[in-house]
Amino acid sequence: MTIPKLTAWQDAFTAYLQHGEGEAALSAQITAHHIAPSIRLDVYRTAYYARLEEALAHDFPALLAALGDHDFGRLMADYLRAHPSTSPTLRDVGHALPLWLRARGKAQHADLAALEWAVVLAFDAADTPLFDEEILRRIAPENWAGLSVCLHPSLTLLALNSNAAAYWQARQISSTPPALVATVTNWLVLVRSASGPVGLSITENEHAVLARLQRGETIATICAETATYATRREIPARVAKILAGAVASGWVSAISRPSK
Amino acid sequence: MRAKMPGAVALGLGLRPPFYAEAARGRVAVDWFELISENFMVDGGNPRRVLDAVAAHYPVALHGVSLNLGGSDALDTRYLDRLDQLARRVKPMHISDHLCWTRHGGHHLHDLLPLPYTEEVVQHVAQRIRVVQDRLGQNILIENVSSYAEFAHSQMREWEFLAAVSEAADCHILLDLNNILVSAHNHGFDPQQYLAAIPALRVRQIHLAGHSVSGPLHIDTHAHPVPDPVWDLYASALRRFGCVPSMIERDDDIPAIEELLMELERARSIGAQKLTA
Repeated sequence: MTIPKLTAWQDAFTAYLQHGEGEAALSAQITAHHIAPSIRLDVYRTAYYARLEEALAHDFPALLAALGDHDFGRLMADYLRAHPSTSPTLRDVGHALPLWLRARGKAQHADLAALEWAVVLAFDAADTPLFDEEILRRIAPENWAGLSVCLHPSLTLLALNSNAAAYWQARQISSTPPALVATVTNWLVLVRSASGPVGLSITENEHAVLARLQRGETIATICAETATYATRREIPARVAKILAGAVASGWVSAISRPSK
Repeated sequence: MRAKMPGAVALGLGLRPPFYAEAARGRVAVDWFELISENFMVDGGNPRRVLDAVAAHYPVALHGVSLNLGGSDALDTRYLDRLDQLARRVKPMHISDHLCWTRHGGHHLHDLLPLPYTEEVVQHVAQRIRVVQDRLGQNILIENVSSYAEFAHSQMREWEFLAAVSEAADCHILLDLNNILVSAHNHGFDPQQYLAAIPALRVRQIHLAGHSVSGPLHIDTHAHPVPDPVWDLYASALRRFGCVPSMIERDDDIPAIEELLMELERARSIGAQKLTA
């Protein structure tokens, strides 16, 4: 059921909340009762941005610290105009922030936001049992080629071109963080542990292999990737080492043979 | 969990992160907890563990903010599915949401926005509530919201609108007494007149909370203790509606839980006086 008058009213109110448009026309429809309609409407508009910015500040505390209150507020207002919430929960409001910051040329801040968004994702990702190292040992090497690996749902792979991880880590231990600066690429796994989300350094090759595993590619495809830096004779041992390391670290939920 | 006296009001708290650990161990002396539905629509992690543990120790009510009952967007079936899954998991004593709109054009506005009080909107909202109730297989509770704007083309007062929607949808009511007082101040009506117009048998839960004053308007912030006028209205509400489960709703500047338990003791005392009078 749609009712045109209600739809038109909600169109107008939404435009006012998000963009400040049409205040005079809306005010004409509001009962004053001793208080100007503009004051009444302003309560809603102020609360709209305040609530969303508060949610972003909660999920991106290191970014807030790096930018400072003023710049954070200004940037987040711009972000929210570009990416209004499309989820029933405020938990999702920052999902596009890392890419949005990167597109605006704020590469180091984008790195920090990507890391903090990975923390948000890790916090309430699905609980799945971890794959048993002993089962991996029992799989014969000749059967590995067709296997695919399911990484833990809380795991995010990051490639950062800044010291954002050091900045974030310093704040985790209540230390003074360094100034955010560009660096050579550093590779990271962010995953939930028993004590909460943790960030761990990995090599470029581990990142490449894990990224392919995360996309559901088989071990055979991973070996093709590994061939870019190892001789053919070394490939199985290198893949085995990375996979065993991932299993031992608690990053793997399941290993399976794809259905035919 | 505390043992409730027979015939006494069941007193609860809104479950907030500072209380998660104690509530999950069953160590908070309340009769029940109200959970914000959206906070627990997650796949796993600590929120899921807290949800299961709290529901194992206490009766819980699910209280949502995103059903968008008054919206003109189509109802969000994915959200309804998630709410249904959550309800199946915790078997809540109530499922509630607000008599307002919260989403438009696919954008969630994360606020409880006001509706025009017209017969057409009564029928529109009631029809959506019936769809929700059919999907969930139970009656839901609708809560009156605080408002800062009313519309010149409204055909009835807020309490008439709430009563009409609940009758047309055959749903129950979660009466927020702080919201009545906030709106009464902002729009100049008598809160007792509001209470008198509410169909008593439909009221299944009461919210108690505090508010802020911002210039000429009162604002529903849930950041303060329950003020005396809300307690006075609570006494009137219990006289009129009887032994209705009641709870303290505190969302900001959350104090130590002992302070909230003292407020619940005040509610218990008012309940004991009014229900034995």
